[in-house]
Amino acid sequence: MRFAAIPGILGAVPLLDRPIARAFIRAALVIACAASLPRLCLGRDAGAFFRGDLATEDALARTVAADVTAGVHTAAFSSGSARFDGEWLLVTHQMAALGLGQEILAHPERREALLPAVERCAERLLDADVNAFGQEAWGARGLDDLGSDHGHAYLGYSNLALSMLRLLEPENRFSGVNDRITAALVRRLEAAPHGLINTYPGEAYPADVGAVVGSIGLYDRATGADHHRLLERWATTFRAHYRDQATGLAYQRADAATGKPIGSPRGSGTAILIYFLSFADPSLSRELFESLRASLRASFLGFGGVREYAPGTSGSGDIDSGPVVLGVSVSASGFALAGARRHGDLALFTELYRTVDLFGVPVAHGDGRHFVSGGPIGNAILLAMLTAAKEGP
Amino acid sequence: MKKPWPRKTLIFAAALVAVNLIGAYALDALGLVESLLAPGGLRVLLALPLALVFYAARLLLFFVAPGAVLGALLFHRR
Repeated sequence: MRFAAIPGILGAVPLLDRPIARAFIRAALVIACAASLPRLCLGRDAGAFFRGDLATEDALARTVAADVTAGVHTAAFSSGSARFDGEWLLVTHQMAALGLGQEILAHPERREALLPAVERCAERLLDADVNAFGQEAWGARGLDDLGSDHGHAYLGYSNLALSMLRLLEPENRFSGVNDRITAALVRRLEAAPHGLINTYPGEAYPADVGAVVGSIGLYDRATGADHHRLLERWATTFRAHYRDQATGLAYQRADAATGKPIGSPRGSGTAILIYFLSFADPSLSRELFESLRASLRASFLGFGGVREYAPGTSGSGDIDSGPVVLGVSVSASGFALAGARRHGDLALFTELYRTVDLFGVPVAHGDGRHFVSGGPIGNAILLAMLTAAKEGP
Repeated sequence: MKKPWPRKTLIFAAALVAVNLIGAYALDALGLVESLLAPGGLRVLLALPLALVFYAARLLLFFVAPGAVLGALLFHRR
């Protein structure tokens, strides 16, 4: 019997008439194609995002701007915890402001179209409903409690967005509150014996303090203020206390009173710290990125991810990591896009973006484009990560 | 005798393409994330199974279908 498809070759091999041989070849073809074709089909925009192509970035920016302009409220989230819903609402507006701000800085011609959405984010970040979770925890709204010694470290997220707006528009209607929040966070950080301020009573997270530090660094850049001594002292403390000595990864939680880390170093906290610290301390950001790349990078068939736990440690997923599948954290993988872009690792950026493309499912609507599985928060985060500023010379 | 093309495999692959294209926009219209983050709503009853079918089809489309189609065409006999 002959094979019609390649009669001159396979037809001459009678062994291939056997069902088991055909099954083996079919399986080999499936494996060979799986190893080579998906990486070609998916993630084709990675290079355009990495280069900062205006059309590619702007399509996502348009959707994010439309989302925040239309209004995102706590009703959009239902994690089962009012605190987490509130945090997600805050992060949605923070990341939207940062992503849109980065887009304006990279492509000033888009300023007129996108700046109103950044202002809208700033406005929302000061609203009572966005800050209710902090008020619930501390018994006072963070913005009304700036004179106290309460940590309210989550204000670092809002202040990063306000500092970004300040960079885009030095005199804006939120300048005063940006000054006041920055002053309060600086005072609290200077008074912190171990470089940590609490997010909630008795709870301190180095990643949240990273947002505080990033917001001060960006504020300095926007206004010309100078807190470099404080930032340097903090970086020294952070390196000594909150990075795992073996892997260099950041601990997710610590005790602000004693400076002792709690639990394991984690991928999600390290990845977001790389982004936040890029606004204040590029060297520390790069060190963390190199540690993450060395210890947590996962790759399969050209698709990339970031593990939540370093080899030798293990744990489950939580609100910070998102789902952890085969050890890979959804949050850490998404946040790591910023580090890869910031620190010039096109290969990692491309692998991570292929995974985003596969599971995020990008769709186009008119001039806009977004990821189906992102929702307003996921698309805002991805815009911020995919447009993170590259390290300067 | 001329045997027909490996129709089953080709139809299967075409169905995966269709589910991938239509499913993406259907899930988008349903608001996949909003549905999943608002448990108790009726939309989740539709969105969750649709999402499972969609992602299964998407994985099959990119990781299994190309090799399966190639193998079927290779062993297509006359």
